[in-house]
Amino acid sequence: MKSVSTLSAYLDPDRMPGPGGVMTQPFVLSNRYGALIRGLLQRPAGADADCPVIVAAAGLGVTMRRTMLFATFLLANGFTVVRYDPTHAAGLSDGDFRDVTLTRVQDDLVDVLSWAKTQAGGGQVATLAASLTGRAAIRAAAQDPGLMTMMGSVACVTNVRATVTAVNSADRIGQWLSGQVTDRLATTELFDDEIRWNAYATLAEDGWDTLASTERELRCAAGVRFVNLHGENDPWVRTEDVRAAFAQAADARLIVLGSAVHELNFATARVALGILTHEFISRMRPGCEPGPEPEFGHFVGLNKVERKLQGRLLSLATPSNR
Amino acid sequence: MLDVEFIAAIDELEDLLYQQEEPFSVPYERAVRLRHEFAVQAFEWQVNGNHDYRRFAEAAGVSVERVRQEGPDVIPLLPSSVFKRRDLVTGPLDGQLRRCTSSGTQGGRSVVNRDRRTLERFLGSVSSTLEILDLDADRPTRFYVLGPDTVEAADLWFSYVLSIVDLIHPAEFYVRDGRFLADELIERLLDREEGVQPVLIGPPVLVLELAARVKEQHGGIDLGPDRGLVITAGGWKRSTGKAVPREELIELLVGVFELDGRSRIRDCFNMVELNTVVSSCAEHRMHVPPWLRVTARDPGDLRVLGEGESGMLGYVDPLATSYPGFVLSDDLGTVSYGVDCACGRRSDILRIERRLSRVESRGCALKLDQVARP
Repeated sequence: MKSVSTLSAYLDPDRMPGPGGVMTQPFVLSNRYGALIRGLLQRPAGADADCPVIVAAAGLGVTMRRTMLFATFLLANGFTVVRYDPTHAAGLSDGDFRDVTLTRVQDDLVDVLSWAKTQAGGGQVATLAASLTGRAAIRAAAQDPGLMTMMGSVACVTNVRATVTAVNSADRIGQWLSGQVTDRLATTELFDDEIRWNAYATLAEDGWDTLASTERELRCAAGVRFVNLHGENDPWVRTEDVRAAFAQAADARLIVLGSAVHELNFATARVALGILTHEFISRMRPGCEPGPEPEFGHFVGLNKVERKLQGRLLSLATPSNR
Repeated sequence: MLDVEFIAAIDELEDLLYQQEEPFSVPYERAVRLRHEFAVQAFEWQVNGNHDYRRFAEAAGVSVERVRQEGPDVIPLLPSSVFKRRDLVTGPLDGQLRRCTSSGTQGGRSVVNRDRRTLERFLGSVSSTLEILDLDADRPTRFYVLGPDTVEAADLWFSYVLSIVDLIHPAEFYVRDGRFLADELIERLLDREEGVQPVLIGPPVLVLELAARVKEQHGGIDLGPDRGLVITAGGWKRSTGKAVPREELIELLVGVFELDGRSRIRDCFNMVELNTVVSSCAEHRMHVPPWLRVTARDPGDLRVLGEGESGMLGYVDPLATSYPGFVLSDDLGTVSYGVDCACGRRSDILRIERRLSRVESRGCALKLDQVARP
């Protein structure tokens, strides 16, 4: 396993222009295990080397396309955005989704955040995460509070076992802990995908599964501001668990979105991303005024750019992988 | 001390549009009640924000209270010809306006101005239609669009709508510089990735042309194993001379593309003045989404006709905010109410029979103009 300081990355020098002067560059990063993380670095028009960077990380099981709407808001407000697909997950990065674990998701997030710091010059780096990836980001912040100045999140999971049970309508972690299932390489279904029981085993073994572990890590993440948007009608994340967890952080804000569910849509995104953008500006670009909301055409235009770059992204390799 | 706030984020209409995985699972009686509420809210928004429409409604003697008491069918409908003559804009606007035009098949182009919220809701309608088309947003799928991309589509609404399907799934476009690249599409279909569901979508005249060329060149292309789907959209327009009966088209397409039966051929309906997409199910019935009120109207006095009676089709569409989505179209058809379809859904069913001729259309428009002119 490589140390973070020796990670190899390749940023495609060709920048594809997009709506509003946004420039998109594909990148690949060889993670600590030597697997390739693929992603996009997107800079707003007029960005300088010190432009603050936000790493936008999608929820588990979905690709970085789900953070495209996040990106339109952040780019419209002068932030450089890094988006990626974790390894052993959905999307373009290496690995098989059957081998997904939350620990690897955290490792990849840390590796990407470390690389993102090199793109921020003297600027700051923050995280915008969703769902289970939010839980991974909390641990990343706890283990190295210097890694990010702020964590914004949507539908952050704080009680992993409760969420996994709600998603599966079955207590998978409990089934593993009680010995009902013992073969960690055997597969089980998660929505329409197969994953190995190892995913659930490691949730317990690596200490992800309890609300108490989240509370403890939030207490440890000194100096990091946490802002979480939680849907009142989220079927997978209980409001009381979110409230209990974030109450442990020294600097946190929790917003409950009335009638919202777990995933953002245009209506709830506008509210959530508007709030988060204001928070990021206050923290990372103090004194700046928020820009206008991105237009629908920006979303359409950015989508076109990313569709065109997909093939290019798949063809990239790091210097050490060539 | 944790700072906790509660913020209203989504109203009932947008909850139904964006957050219901299966909009048609809303019980029909509840859908009727919701539709009534949405219509009242939409009417109030339009009379408050659109001077022209307010005068039109006042001239027709319709107030918000009357709509609340009597239901969406009293809402005065704008003939689609009005959109050829006037730029109707309802404020306050959300972001910039996008100008959306019709193809002008009936003479003159309609212009509808859509702001950000209206466009987002339209995309929401497109996304919600995936369920009835048996398309899964998370399954590897590729659209082969028999239309131009967004840049070439420009303001033309039908082409723009086809071009934005790649917000949902990867799409390739096979009309470039106004030419249909059928042979290039055929080569691509022969070389496509296994395990990715192929979806052909386009106007029936181009779908027919593609099928004819495939049959001539290769006998057939097997799209069946990956659950291929063919979606016609946009009607025959100027190509009515090439139109074939629907059943004949279905049989041809199933055969040429070796699909898993008739249920793999679908149809989608929209028009520039409508902010909702109506799609057909596996039983080939066009299910009206729960927020949309569609009625067939007597061409003489615009009264609402009964179950299955043929008349001019009128729409009360609350998804539109930057223009009045209360439209009397140039189409003749029928509406059946609360139908229990064999596909498992219960909804109103729309059946479009034909376009009014220009003479008929002009006659109706003149009559309406005598009633009230916005």
